[in-house]
Amino acid sequence: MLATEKPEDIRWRYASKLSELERLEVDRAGRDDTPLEALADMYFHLMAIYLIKDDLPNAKFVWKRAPDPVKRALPAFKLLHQVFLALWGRQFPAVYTALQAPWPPAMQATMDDLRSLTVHRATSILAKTYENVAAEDFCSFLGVNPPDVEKACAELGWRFEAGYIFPTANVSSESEAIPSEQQLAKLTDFVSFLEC
Amino acid sequence: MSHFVEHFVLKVQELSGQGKYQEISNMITTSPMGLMPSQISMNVLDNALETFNDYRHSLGVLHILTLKYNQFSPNDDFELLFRQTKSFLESCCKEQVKCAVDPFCDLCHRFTAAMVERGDRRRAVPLLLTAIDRLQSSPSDLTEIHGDLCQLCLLSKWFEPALRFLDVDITNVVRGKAKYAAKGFLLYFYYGGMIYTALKKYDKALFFFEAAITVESVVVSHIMLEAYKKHILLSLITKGKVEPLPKWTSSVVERFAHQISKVYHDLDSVYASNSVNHVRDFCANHAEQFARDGNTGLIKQCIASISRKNIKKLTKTFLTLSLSDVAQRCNLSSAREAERHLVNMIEDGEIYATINQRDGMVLFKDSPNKFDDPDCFLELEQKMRRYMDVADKVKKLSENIQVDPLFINKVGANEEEGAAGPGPGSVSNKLRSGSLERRTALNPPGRSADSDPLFQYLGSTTEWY
Repeated sequence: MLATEKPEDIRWRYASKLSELERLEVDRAGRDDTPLEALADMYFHLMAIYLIKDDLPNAKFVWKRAPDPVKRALPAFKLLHQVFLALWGRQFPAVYTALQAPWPPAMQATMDDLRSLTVHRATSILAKTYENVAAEDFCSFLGVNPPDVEKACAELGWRFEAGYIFPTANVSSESEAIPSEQQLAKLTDFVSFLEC
Repeated sequence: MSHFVEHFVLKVQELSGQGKYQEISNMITTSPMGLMPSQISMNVLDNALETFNDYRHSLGVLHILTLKYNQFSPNDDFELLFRQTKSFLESCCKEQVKCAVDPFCDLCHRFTAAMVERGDRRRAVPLLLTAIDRLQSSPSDLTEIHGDLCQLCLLSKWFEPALRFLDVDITNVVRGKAKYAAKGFLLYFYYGGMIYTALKKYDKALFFFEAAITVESVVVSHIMLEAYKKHILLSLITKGKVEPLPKWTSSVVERFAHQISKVYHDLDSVYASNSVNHVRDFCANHAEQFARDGNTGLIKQCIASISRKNIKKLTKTFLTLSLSDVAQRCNLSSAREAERHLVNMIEDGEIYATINQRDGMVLFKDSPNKFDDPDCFLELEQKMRRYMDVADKVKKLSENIQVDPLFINKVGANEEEGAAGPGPGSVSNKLRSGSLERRTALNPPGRSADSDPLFQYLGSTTEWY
């Protein structure tokens, strides 16, 4: 039910696709012979990837610069704009509702990833912000149905008591430790630079 | 083909064949209209273009295209002119174009203006990217065309092409025989600031606006004035107050821009009251002027930022506070709205706090960062590497200038002048009066920093880092 894949792993999958699309946009700007469907597909994916990267300003400008015929050619593009508006306003329930729209099969995986990332973000906000939070708000943040609250809490390892959830921040100590010799070498570089 | 044009075509073909590009460039730049009568029919110019090869006779094509833009009237076929410009920019010879930087930049300005006028900006963006590539020797070169590209990107709401250049530190200004136009330099920083503002990268936007404002000048240009206004608004949004401009800002900016932007300074005073209602009323009263300046969006963000500023102030006074108290003290409509603001600010890392929803309380905390984890070291390392890169670039620039014959001559002349006693305009006198004080810390003495925008930029860059 809740996201299992790490956000950075999800985003990493789209890194090369983004630069490819940005290059494609430059190529196509100078040509008039690109079919409308291909353009719509390009803009849709570009906006979706900016949303995945949590780069909302750039996503906003993709929508603004896309020509009207492109917006009309692909109905899913308008649905994606609804997702963007909800994310921009930080309205989590609206994000989950918008993400439940019927996406074309080729775009479903991207939308699922966007949903996973939204759940991650909401989990992180709850853990960072709340000492305890009402079950109702918990459901709004995570897009969980009220009967599934206990199950979701168990998955997250959070305590559920008298209608309130007690989030605990997950301490991630997964950063790779740098070998001491390497650290010393770096520090030597810095000190010699600063003393020059 | 007219006699004049025929003569010109033959001359260009002959000189191009001999590789005498500088000679062609001189011919074009010294007597552009003398070479050809100003009114030649478009057909004749089109015929001349057909006889040229875009790569082999780039300077000839450049001149004919410039003439076409000069004589262009609304009845002429712009699509044909667009295709000819596109073909030229895509195929022109880098070596030849570098011999005629000023006419090349001028052509790009005219092309940009024509595309902006026709509302057809997107098609021009890839071509200007190619044009910049033709002039640059390295990605850190600033050309006059950068400002045009930023303008087109802003108008077409497409920022990625401009960011490729904006994100690179500039170490050199590409200029022709004419002095680098201050307008191009100012526009680059002004439009760059606007692009970063649109993308909500406010720190960089502030730096770009500051670079535009602090260019050494004797008058305040409109570009500087608009940058000044936007700088004030961004300062309010990000810092909650307007900080004084750097001490190297020209005195005219302080004097005139301050007077002309009085409403913005009044807004700063009202903003200091921390009252959302007062600021909202003030902005409503001056809405027309803000709209005329194109600053309505920033004004809205200014109003929204007051609540955040007020909440930040509470963190300095209280350890715990009820959500309804937060709402009351910050003029928010309800405890729920206060909670929403707190959640957003905690997510953005603006404050550190936890909310106890059951008791309706918020507990403000200090930053949990102990600066002892590998992530912190990684960040420190990245920043230090960046400092070291900038220091390295400045050192190389300094070395290049020190071996520049012009610089050596000037230093020699100054030393002789110094031996004979300093005159009123000498560098040593200026140093004494303090006008070159800051720049001499960064740049070698002897070169006129007053006339060189690069020095100004480098100064600002170093401050920023």
